[in-house]
Amino acid sequence: MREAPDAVFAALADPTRRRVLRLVAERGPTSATLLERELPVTRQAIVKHLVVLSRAGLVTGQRAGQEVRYALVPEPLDEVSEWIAEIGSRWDERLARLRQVVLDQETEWS
Amino acid sequence: MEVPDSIERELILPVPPERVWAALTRPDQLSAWFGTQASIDLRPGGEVIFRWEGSTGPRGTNRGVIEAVEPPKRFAFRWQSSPDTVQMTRVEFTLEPHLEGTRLRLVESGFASLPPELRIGCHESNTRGWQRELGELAQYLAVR
Repeated sequence: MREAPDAVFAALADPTRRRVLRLVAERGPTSATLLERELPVTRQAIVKHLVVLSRAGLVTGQRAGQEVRYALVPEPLDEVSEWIAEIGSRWDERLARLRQVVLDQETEWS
Repeated sequence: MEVPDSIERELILPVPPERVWAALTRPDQLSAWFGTQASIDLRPGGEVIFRWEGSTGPRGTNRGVIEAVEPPKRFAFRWQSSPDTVQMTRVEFTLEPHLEGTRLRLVESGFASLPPELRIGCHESNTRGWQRELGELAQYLAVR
């Protein structure tokens, strides 16, 4: 089984970070300065959140003159979904075995 | 960016709920189908321990905490669903008497610490992926 994308889960565990990510997703490439206008936190805090999101691969930064503009990278969220789908298929296998276990007992008991 | 919060499965088993309950909660029976060795302290707050086997031997142990023990109706615990993640999820089995035996429903939830606004359709392909997944499940259940 593939490793779960823990960095992504960790990055998304913080509500402010989720708001930052959501704004980046909605606005398209956005700078920390622009985000500051829409969030009740300091620019410094926003930069820190952007760094965490960037390390998790959820945003990517590109220098544009004096500032860095951040854009959404949706793939890690896809990976989270795929990971969940894998857990689902693991349950499918388990439940098929469970069926077999109760059927085998049924045979023994009857 | 569709990230579902839960996995849901339902199946009809041709034995009474008491028998299914035993298969879910008795360590020897649980180990027989679960895919890991399991031991259980069967009470709310009790510990459930899963030992993951790798190809070269034991890979590690995950501990879970039992949340609900209502024989033969409901069994729930929290755990890490794979040895590779720190993400805790909640597994709940519900059992109902059914004409043919028992209707067993499984829900594993808590995957998305993601907020609902992130989970609605920015990213269509993924939503479709999940719908396909559900379609396959329906098919899977239909042939059984």
